[in-house]
Amino acid sequence: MAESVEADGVGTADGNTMELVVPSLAVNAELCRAAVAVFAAGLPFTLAELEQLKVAVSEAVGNCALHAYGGEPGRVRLLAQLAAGAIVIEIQDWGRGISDVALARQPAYTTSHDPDHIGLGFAFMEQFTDALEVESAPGEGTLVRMRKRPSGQAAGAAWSG
Amino acid sequence: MGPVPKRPCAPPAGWWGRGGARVDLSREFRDGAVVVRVSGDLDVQSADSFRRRVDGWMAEDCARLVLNLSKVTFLDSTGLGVLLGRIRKAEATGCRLAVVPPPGVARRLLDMAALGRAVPLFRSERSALDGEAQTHG
Ligand SMILES: Nc1ncnc2c1ncn2[C@@H]1O[C@H](COP(=O)(O)OP(=O)(O)OP(=O)(O)O)[C@@H](O)[C@H]1O
Ligand SMILES: [Mg+2]
Repeated sequence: MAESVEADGVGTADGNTMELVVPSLAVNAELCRAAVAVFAAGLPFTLAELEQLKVAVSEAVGNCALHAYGGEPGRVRLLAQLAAGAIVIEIQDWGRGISDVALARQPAYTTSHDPDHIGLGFAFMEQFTDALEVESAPGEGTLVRMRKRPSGQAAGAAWSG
Repeated sequence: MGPVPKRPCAPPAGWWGRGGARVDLSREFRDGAVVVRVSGDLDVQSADSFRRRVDGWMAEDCARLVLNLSKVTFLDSTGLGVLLGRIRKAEATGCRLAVVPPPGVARRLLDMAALGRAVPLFRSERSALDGEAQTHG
């Protein structure tokens, strides 16, 4: 008969951490969002909430691929943590940075010359998480930090505490 | 800002910037319209190949185009941007475009960009071809 393991955090997802370092390629948006979705499933998120997290992560990693290194090879670090019933995700690059973060976060703001870039990446990160922080300095890089807590509407949320 | 990770993870030469398209496209001619069915993830990785293929097809025949996104499993701002770009292009070239939206969060992204104001949305490919009642909300 299966025994539930509860002691010392063994068998509970809270406190779990994950770190991934990948090249700043668009393909890694998919890798990172898939990894975060599996990792975040340690908390009672609904499927819709996991989909929202995937969008937010994909936007941040996609920005590293599109903007951070000007097409040159570079690195992206994804850090995720389940703490006190919420997920905290950091996506960091060491690229060109953003000189005016408040402006960059405005919906429809983009520095891209591609007319198909609509500049909604930060707006989606904001929309689909509970909190979004952006630390950046020109020439030093960018750190995007997002936090999201399950709404408590997932099936099974009642017994998973 | 923490330190740059020491060990570089450089991919092999020539590989940089490449990536397989994770979106499948098919084209079919039905009832005098071009039906383009999209399945998979329309994102920062696949948006370019999506744009190239659809633009190629639009250049060949674009009197009436139905863009069926009902099998799109993931959408991000880059994917949404190329969709909006195709809508603008259809308007500019006199192409009658109809869209069958994706489900779930991808649909919400379309709504956040008010895509339904730029192009008629239909609940199914059939109703798009028939020009029937549009979906709301
Ligand atoms: N990691 C980054 N490094 C450098 N600049 C960035 C980074 N992330 C965002 N930016 C800047 O912020 C702007 C806004 O980003 P946002 O994701 O909102 O829109 P976008 O990437 O330009 O377009 P979209 O995401 O809609 O395709 C970008 O155009 C870019 O100038
Ligand atoms: Mg972006």
